[in-house]
Amino acid sequence: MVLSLVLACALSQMPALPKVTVVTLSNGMRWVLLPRPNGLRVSGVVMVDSGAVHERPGEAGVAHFLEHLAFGGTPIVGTRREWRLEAPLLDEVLQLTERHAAAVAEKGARSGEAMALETRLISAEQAWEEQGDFRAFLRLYARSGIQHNATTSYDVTTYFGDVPAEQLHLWLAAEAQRFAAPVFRNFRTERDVVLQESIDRETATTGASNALWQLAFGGNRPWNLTGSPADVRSIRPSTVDAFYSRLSSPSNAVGALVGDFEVGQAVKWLHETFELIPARPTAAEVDLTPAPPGFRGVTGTEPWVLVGFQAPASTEARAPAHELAALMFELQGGPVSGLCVDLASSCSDLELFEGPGLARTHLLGVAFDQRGNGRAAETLERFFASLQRFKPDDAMLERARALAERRRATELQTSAGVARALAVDLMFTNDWKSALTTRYQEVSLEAVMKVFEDFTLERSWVVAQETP
Amino acid sequence: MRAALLLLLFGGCTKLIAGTSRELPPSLQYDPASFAVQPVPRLPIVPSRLQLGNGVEVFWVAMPEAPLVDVSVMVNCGRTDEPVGQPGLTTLTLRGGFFAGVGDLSPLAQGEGLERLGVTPRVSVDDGFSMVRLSMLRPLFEPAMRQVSDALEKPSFEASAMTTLKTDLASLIDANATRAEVSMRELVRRAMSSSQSGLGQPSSAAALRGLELDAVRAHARKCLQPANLVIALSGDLTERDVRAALQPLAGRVRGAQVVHPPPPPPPGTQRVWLSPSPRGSRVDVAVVARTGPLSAHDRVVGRVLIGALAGLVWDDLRNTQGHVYSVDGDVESGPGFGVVTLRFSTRREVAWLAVNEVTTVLQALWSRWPLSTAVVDALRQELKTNAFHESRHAVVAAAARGRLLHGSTFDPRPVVEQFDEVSATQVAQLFVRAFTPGRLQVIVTGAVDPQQPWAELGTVTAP
Repeated sequence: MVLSLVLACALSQMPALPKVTVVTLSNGMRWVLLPRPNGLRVSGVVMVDSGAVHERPGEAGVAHFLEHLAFGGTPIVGTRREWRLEAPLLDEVLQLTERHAAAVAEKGARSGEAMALETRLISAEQAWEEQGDFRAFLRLYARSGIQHNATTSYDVTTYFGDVPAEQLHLWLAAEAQRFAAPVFRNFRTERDVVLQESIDRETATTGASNALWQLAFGGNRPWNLTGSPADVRSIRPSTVDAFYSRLSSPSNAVGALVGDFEVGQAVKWLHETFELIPARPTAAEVDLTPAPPGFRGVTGTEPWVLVGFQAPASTEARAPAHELAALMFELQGGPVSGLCVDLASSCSDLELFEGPGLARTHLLGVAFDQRGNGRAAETLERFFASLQRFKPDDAMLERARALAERRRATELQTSAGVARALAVDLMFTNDWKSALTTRYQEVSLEAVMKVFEDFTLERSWVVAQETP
Repeated sequence: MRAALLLLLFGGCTKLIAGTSRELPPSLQYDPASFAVQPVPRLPIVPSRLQLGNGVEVFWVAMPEAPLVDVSVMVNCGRTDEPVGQPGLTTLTLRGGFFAGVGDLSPLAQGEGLERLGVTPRVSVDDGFSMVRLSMLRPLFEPAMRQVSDALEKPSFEASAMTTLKTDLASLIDANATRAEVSMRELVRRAMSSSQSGLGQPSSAAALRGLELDAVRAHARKCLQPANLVIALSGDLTERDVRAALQPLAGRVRGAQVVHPPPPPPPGTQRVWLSPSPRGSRVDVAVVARTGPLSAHDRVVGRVLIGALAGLVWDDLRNTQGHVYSVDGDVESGPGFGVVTLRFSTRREVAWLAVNEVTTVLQALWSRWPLSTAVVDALRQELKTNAFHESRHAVVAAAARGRLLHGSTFDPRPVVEQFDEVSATQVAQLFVRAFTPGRLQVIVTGAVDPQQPWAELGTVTAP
């Protein structure tokens, strides 16, 4: 009781909303700015509404690959002498890369044509290296004390910078130039790196997980964050270029700055950098209409069974109830753990799957590793029975709220986390305030119970079973 | 005709692909580097330091507006302090404190209390020390620290809860046995010492299940005395907040400091430890060297040394084998010994060649260390820049750990200041002390091809 009071009191004492400035540039790009003490550093985010859900057939893995290519430089950064001298040589390399990929796909890597092209490619790369340097962009950042990173999710590609406050103008200038005209100098090197990531991911549950997304939302999208190794091997420069051209427009992106800077100065620099990127048409919104639920076997490499429930986008009013329902089931632990011990080698808790997960539709899911035991059907039957038996109460709801609040606070602990959260909300809800507040206190027990009732209805779930 | 030819040629150029055809608008044709300004001298993060009434030291850093307080409790007990045959004793003891009941509270009530606070203690055990890490919303700092204090002072280790904990931990060991990452850590430990010591003994689900409650209680009495604790905090805190929240801990009797057993003898011959995994194509390699005791300053020198070695290995492998995904390393110190590790990742087909290349290069460096003062200066500068990006809690936790590991020789100054005192000679000397030819331990995990001639590089052990 005392603890509950302390908790309620604590949550009511959360700090008031800080002073945030939102700037819309004339090309449609929006920025959110929040000065915050950060040890003379600024956390910067450039987020593009461009992720795996935007890939079309034949483009699996391209969004992620583009993120890797984005640091190869620009027509200014990375050219040893002059861009007009480098461009034809680099173009020769990329044309040969294109033809080599086609030859490998059609006739195999050991075919005479592929090997001849490989020889020409190596020679072209050597000629290009006289004029170009794919490490120059990252060296510029390293020399300026800027730490960078980037991630690609189903929804968005996010570029992060941890920037010394005095180099903010440089970071904005470099990012704007990279956004406007990235040069793919590092195509073959990065394809190696991405290929390895893809191979590593194959060892996880991604096969069944991708299938689950396909079952849940249908369509002909690949639903694969990195693409399979075969997908990655076949990616060509022109495919990445087409994807970039389709989606990387300023009005399809947002930015965020959080840290030690003066707002007026930052706005001036934004006008001198990002605002100079020409406006281009915005890509059409992706259609994520849920597909009919059902059960389907999927051939793959891992013996997993995944159960998914379509859940609302995080921007919807009923989303917090779904989040708390998942947490309550996780905290209660019993049903899933029991099934794990009895019927599966291992399993996940019921959790929000990483999916089109920032603001569009979510999946709540649970994964069972059925390694060799042939008892998948029994696992599913008992899992649904455990859901029906599950009776949430007020105490459990309170615990789930505490955990959810803490998880949200963890995301907002650093300036980088705040910048990301602000950017996400600016992009998907156009309302930065929701990034810094939570709605868990408004969720009633009835709302959570309704979620569980819906879960037990066959129309709300999809199952993917992957069998080797 | 000539115009048509020119048009054709020009038309051919417009087919440029993949970014080479993109033009920067004139207004964006600036050199971003021209916006670089003189770096502002950084004031390094200096953790504040205070002592509770019973001598427990607390390092803390204020983070205005941060919604959470991060807490790390460093405990002066690690794997070296676990008796032979009882691996996992420290983990079980610390987890038992937080999850198996405390004072009059049942394990269930204790767990519910932590859940209501949204606190999940995470325990990690290293060679010479262990750590409990947790975070909580700022307004819940005081009640959460009361729970921490209780867990350290009066754990009840209720029998059935301890059995559940043992089962969970044992399952984890079984499940992790096949994962390459865990194997690497486990193999580094085994490679560093004979198994006849707490340090070198392998994790064992069976041994963990067999741990007696009396052993856990005795271990708790030894390790959890205030004399063996150092606390690191970061959050929206003042000294008054810190003292108020730690009042329960300050009231305990200081107790005795743990005396660590002497370290086991170092490996006498070069060995290759292979742990193949059937999937993927990446191979992870660690070249591990045991040293004698390392001082606090040695560890700072070690960071420069690792930076130097990583650069050399990266360039060498890029030039010779073509495939290297990453190179890094670290320098760790335990009671009476140190471990210098150089890690890199490469591709299955060239793994043996790469390992052979790296061990050969290390041997050559041992005879003739190449780094000039200028190179060391550049490395120091790079490390100082990187230190600037470290999180505040990482800085304060490193200070607390340093205090625990190095006692009175602990240097309280920020590490960026300590880098200035590292000389090229010291880097060379540490290298020579650590990387004695013929004694390196090479651990290879991931998509290893066992058919490659590993035996040529040392005695092969395949656990």
